[in-house]
Amino acid sequence: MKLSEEQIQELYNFTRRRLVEHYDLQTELVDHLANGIEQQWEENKEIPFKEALKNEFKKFGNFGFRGVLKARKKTMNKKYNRLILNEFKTYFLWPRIAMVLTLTIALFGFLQVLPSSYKWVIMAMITMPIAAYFMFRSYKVQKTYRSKIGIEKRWMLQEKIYNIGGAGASMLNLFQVFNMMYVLKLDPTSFLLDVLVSGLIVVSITLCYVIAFVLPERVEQILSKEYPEYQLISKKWR
Amino acid sequence: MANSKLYKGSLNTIILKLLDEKGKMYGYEITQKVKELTKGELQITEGALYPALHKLEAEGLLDVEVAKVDNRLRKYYKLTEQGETETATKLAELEDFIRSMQHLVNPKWSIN
Repeated sequence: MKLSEEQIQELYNFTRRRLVEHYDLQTELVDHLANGIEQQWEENKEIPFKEALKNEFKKFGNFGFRGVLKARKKTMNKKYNRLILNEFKTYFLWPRIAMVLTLTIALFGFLQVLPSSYKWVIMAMITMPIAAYFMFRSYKVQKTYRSKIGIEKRWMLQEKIYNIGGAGASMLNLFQVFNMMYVLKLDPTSFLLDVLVSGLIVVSITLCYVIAFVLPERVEQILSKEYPEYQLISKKWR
Repeated sequence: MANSKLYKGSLNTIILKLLDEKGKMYGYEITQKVKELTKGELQITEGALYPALHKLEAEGLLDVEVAKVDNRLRKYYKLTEQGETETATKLAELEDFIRSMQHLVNPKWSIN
């Protein structure tokens, strides 16, 4: 005996009630539970659906789906980090490296001509609007995603990409760096320091750009590649 | 069920070996296959199987495929090229381990 469409739907609801919010993991667990229930029915047709489900869920142990969920999140974090790293790397290969280097050199030249006593204050004032812009972008992307929750299916990797991983906020760390310059009384006329700071700023901006712009724009492409089931589901059900 | 602690460290190797033999498998199939092969002696718990599968997938040892079966979607796992190499290494390690354990548990005494 096979499970009906309604019973499959009930299994999806069952996983959702147990805090499995994302369609990718729900699907795998639903298939597992369904196989188990069908196996039980092969041995005894009389077992009611609810009871068979209970028996099957028990096999996941005292913590239910929690262990599975935790491992899944870890997997997705790894995948997400790899996506960022792969994209980030392309900025250090030809032809993009030319742009990155030009920007770094321009910034370095600018740092060299700034009056040494106000240098870090001026730099902080320049980076502030950039950080604010990235934070605004994160807010907008997150808002668009949140408005879809409950209407469309949720995919764990999609959620990670749309969460932007604090790209704007992490830019604020640059202010700590500027602050350190004062605290440690580093020589503001140092050549090496200017090289390091201009490199650091360009790397931060590139990283934020990848996280906040490139990946969210490519989300469809990424999901189709990472989730084979993504393409199987017709667009209206996503 | 036999002492599960003894099997715990070998779960990944068992999964890799099964996938190496069968090509592609889905989660439930793996639990059933293990039960069948060990005559119920070893039961992979669901709570341990999926975390292990997801971890192997994250490490790039497994690849996934999805197919519509009956009225639901089924996720299949198969070895990647890296996974195949890793399987061979893990199996060799396990065999070494079994051999050393045999020496320890059942040493062959000899006079000379």
